[in-house]
Amino acid sequence: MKGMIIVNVDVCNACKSCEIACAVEHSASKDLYEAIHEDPKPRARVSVQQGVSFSVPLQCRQCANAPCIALCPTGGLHRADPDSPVLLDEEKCIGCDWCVLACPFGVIQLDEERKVAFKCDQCFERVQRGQLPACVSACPTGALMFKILEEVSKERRNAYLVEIAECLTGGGV
Amino acid sequence: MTEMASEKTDAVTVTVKKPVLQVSCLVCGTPFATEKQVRRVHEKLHFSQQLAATCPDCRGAKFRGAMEKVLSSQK
Repeated sequence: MKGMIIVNVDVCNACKSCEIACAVEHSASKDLYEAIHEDPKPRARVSVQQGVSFSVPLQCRQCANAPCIALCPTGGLHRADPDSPVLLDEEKCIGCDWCVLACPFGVIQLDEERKVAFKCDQCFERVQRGQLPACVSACPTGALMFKILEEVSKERRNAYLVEIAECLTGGGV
Repeated sequence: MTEMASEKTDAVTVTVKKPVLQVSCLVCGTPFATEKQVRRVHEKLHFSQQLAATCPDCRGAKFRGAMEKVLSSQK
């Protein structure tokens, strides 16, 4: 089942809790107070971007035909199974920058200190344990949601049906 | 060309630093990749010339702008 991180931009207030939670989740200690003092500093895989009329947390879109995987020369970027997010094996990463150049959304970054790329893995291990990704758990307004692809399609269909029903009944269902 | 060598137990690491010309981003003008890299991204991934020659930061901004356009048209 392919999971997706969905953003409701109407309720995002750019508090950056997702960025902090992501960095902590990818730190060695997984504890906020200890992570602050870690060296190298843990990095967030999500970044809150400020638009003209809204803010939106941007992270890897987990493309079906991921161009980053296609250009990775070492096989460091891979999928565990066809439905899994794009994962990065840091042991194999040589920091060549190809994935950064291949990403059409500009969401893969290179850790200049450690010379390895870093990207959102949708907290693969947490999700395997039945938990939500860290950014989704930390979002105080519910702007970030983790849903299964089929669930999203079903919700959209239902919303569309309600819309049609409202049109047919002249506003009240 | 500068060469630095460091010895760690039985392994020797040599770092070679060579200046290379970089292509400037079409949007912000910041040098971000070599011409060869931009060409490879264009040819192998079939990205448009424009997208291939746009730096990762500007691609993110472009994506955000596109989202904004779609969302404002829905309201």
